[in-house]
Amino acid sequence: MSTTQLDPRFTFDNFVIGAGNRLAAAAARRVAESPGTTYNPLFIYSASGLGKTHLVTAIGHHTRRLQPGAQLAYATLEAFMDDVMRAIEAGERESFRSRLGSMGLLILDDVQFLAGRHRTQEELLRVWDIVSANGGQVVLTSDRPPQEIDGLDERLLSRFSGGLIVDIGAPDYETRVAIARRKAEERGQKLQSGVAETLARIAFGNVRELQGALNRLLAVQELEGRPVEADEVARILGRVASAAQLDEFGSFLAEVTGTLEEVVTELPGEVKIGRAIERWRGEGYRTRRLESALTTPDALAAVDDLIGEYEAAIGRLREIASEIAALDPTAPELERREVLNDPDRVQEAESLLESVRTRCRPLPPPPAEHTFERLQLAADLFEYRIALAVAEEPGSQYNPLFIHGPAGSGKTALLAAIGNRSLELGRASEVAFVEGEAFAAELIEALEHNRVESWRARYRRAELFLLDDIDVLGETERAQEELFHLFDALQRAGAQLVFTASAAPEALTGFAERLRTRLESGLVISLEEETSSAAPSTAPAAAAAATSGDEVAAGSVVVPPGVDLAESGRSSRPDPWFQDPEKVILVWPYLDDLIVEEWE
Amino acid sequence: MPLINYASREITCKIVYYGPGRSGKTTNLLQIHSRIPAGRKGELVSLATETDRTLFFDFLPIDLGTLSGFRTRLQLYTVPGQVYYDATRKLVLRGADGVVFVADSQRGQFEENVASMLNLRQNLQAHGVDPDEIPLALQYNKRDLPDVVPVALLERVLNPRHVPSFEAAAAAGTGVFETLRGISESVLRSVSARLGAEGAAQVSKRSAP
Repeated sequence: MSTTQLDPRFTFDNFVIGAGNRLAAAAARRVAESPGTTYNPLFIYSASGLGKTHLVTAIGHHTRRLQPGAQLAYATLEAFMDDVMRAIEAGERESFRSRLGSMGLLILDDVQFLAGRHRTQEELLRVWDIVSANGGQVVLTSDRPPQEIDGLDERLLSRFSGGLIVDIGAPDYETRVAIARRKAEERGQKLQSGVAETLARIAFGNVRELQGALNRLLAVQELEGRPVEADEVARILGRVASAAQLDEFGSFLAEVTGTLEEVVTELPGEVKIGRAIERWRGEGYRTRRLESALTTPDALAAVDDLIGEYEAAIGRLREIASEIAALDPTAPELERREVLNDPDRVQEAESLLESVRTRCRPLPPPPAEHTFERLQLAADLFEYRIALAVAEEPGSQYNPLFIHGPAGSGKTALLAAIGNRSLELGRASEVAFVEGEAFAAELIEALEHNRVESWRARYRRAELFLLDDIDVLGETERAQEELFHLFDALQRAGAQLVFTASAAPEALTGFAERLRTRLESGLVISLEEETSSAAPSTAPAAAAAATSGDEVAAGSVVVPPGVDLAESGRSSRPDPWFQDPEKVILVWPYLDDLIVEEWE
Repeated sequence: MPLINYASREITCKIVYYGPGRSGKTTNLLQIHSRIPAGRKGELVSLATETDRTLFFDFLPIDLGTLSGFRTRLQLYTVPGQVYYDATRKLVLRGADGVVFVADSQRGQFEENVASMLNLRQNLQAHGVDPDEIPLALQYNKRDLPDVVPVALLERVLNPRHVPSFEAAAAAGTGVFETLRGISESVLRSVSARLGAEGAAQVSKRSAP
């Protein structure tokens, strides 16, 4: 494909302009003078023989004359297809694309033959995108408007329609006379008076037929060495100029087209908006804003701003959609085309994005500095071994694990160590470590921005959920409710939950019963202040001890029903419940049989 | 009055042929119909009486194809000319973008022409349309017949607005397309002027009255 294929006969200088082609000729000239800036692409269509190829070839010649160094390529679609096939066969697809993509002006003739040729369409799309990215101009011709090309890829259709689409009508009588005279002149011959007029009265379907008839007359003149007279035309051509019926309609069409051109060019605002509507509607976007502008005089006054803002909104919508897709390719939000394709709903689209961001945000990780190796707990301590077992097999036992103890007892460090060990061993990849206070604050923020669903969805991803200082959720309502539902959802999903608090579940104040019972439903262990003074020990040994059920020293444990800790030998200390001087006993069925002793 | 739809890039013009009975309105449509290539025209719908006088109306849709990027269609209607079909005339006239007044040039029909022109003005006003503003073209038909009123007189009486007027012999096809071209251009130009004044362009959707 190269400029050598530009037919040297076709230039602007010998293109006869009439009512039917005035707009196309003006647009072509404009494109040739400043390619890539005004009408891009320029799409010219008409029935055959009306001058499409002439015009686009003229664009090539003119561009080359004005910018001698300009890179330009002209090809019929057939040649383009051949090149595509050759490039594919030779494995030079990429170099083909980049070579054509570097063109400042790409002219494709007869693109109606793209119909149903998917591979060629795909290749053209790629080339087009490179040309566009480089600011190049694309010029296309076809025998029909883009929307009437069967089987045309939607993306190509919208690209074809994105610039100026202009048609060439049949030449009117006067234009036909001018063409006949010009062509005779180009051949260095002169027509007798009335010959061009008689010729022009014949209802030729297009310029090519007119030219063929003229050639015949000129041949007679040359061969017989005498001028052809007007009254001989019909005899020589075997046609008479009486096909006035078609001619009359053709002239009528040419006249109406001329008027229409004037009318529509007087209304650039509407035309621009109409094109924008056509383009964006073709790409599936709502065009309500543009449509309503057509009936609003004020909006029409600032049409460029209007379209600019509209297209900026579409740009933002596209960014949003691609960010959502990047965050979560299967996000249900991507199905919300009624929002993502409506430039009047950018705010809602932003909210969708924010929801996805919230949902997909990485879970808060446990502080890295806390590991089992660094814990100030004896490795043979019962609580240590339980925690390690949970870290190594999350979700399989002691679920939930509830750790309580006074401030400074090392609860938080133990909780974080569980998370870090699980991460380290790959037992859980989604680990959430959150403080009670942050949990409540996040919920409030999510409520504020109407993003509770995403906030929930985020935590529900967790395979190991570590909540530090659950005490602070006492007296809260919504946070407890959310925690309750999260608890159930995570347990259903087989996730491990671990909580810390300053007191055992039954001693926590302001907690709903349904949550409290759930907190107690796994294993509750406590850390004493003094336990934290123990020297660090080797974790593997402790883990082995925990899982083998060896006797350990330690804190106090409330054993829930069904959990057998008989062999753990942990009952060296009484339950702290008994240390509390104030006891309320609501039901005590066997009072007669029991002695209650007060402890000091 | 909707006409140009920039969103779907369609233009539809409703043009009504008006005039006294037997002035040649239907003949105009028949001639246009016979001269348009197949594929560009719809069926000519003609609801006529047994005596070939138009009882209701004729309707001829023409597709001019895509001109300057707009799918352009003309819808041509005729009204029944007889005095007693005024309700039908009024109905057909509704939503017209332009009117062709077909006058019968024969001397004996002069009064009917004047009466029909007055009737046109009244019916336009009844639809809230200013008869001095709507695009209008005059056709002085039957110029090939003997004993016709001079064009100058018809002009003076029927064309005080000095709108485009055309001499015609519709039965022979003379002047038919010239008239259609004249009214089409007036209609298209009026759209331009009206939009300039009102900034309005809306969806064009028409149906037969």
